[in-house]
Amino acid sequence: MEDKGECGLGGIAVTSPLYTDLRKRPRSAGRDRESALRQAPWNGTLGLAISGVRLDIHGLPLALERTLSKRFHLFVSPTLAGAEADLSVRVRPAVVKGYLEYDKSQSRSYRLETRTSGERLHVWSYAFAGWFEIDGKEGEVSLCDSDVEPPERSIENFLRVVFAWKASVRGGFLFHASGLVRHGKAYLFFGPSGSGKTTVTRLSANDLLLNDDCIHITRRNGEFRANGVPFKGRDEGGAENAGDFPIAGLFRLVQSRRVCFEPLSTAAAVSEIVASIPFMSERKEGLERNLAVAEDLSRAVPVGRLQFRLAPDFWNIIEESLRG
Amino acid sequence: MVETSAIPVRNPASSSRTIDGQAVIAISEMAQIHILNDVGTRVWNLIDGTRTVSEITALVQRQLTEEGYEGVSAGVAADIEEFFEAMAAKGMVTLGEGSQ
Repeated sequence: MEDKGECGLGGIAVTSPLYTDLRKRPRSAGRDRESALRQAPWNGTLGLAISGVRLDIHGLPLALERTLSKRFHLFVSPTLAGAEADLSVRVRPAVVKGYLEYDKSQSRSYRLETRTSGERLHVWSYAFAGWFEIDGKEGEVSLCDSDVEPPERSIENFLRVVFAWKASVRGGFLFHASGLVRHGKAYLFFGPSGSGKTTVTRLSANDLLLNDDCIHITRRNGEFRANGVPFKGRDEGGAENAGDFPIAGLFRLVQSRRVCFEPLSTAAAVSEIVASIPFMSERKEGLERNLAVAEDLSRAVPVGRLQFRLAPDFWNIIEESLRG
Repeated sequence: MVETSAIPVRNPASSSRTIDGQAVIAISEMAQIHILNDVGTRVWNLIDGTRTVSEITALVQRQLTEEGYEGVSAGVAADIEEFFEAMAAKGMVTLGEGSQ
């Protein structure tokens, strides 16, 4: 997090932007592909169970259902039918070619917009637009047949926002972090795009990857736990395991020439954590929930800044600091 | 320059939590988080939409004096005014007109 100046009294010590976009360049779906959206009928169904959060998707074109089942295979829930889902999403074909305009010359990051209207959160990007009930169980998403983004990506990006809210309603949160499991415990690495989340996972090839971009944090019997989610930072960066693991520590990454760990005060840790919770800045009550759970988490597990270089020696510092 | 008779009002989109004597303030829609130090936190927690800048300043000075920080208390008024200006510039508060 960058400190952006102080004012009177040294009163404002940290000013940080909340994480607001996916920061991923959309990838062309290719002009010569056979569109999954042109194949009727739209009556496929997919159930996902992500550490207790259950999402039910109806009305998928069958080819897209197959693609998503493969993409999210660790989280597909064959027993979801007839069960009570946290959200049931109806998929429909869009009547327009696209929503947000994709400008190749300026699109270094993925654009995604959200807006609340009553109890609904509306979400839209290049090739999809949808809404869902924040506290209710209904949602809908319209998919465009677009060259900018394939439909499985559109569904994934819509579900990422849905999941962030549903996880928060259940007392956890979606964390913009990479996660690795070592000796049965989850080590979470966070910071803005470019801080090194994916790099750390590449430097730790022998550890179990939870995810290189998003981690779901939950609390079970008073213990904070981390589990992977089906949403990926890159195609090969998804979860290798759908289980959840006790959290060893949270490490705010800072690229450096040296390696060191600096514990954060609880207030600073809360600020850093909340700044890395995506999509939740639309509503005050969401932020209040996040502040409360981030405080509990910061008191329960070590949180600090980890300066690291492009070598796996940061693990020695982590292990030393956690022993101390 | 902040009018000492102005009544500060917190941004209604702000959520805050005081943690170990430091206020952590998140403002929805503005996508910002702020951490305040001890004195900043005292000021923030005294903003109730009815007190003026001068009343808040006096209350903070009294708290500091009672806690044995006479030296700090004497010089804090100008800092608090500057702090209100900075908070207003960042959208954390609005400064309404108070009665003279």
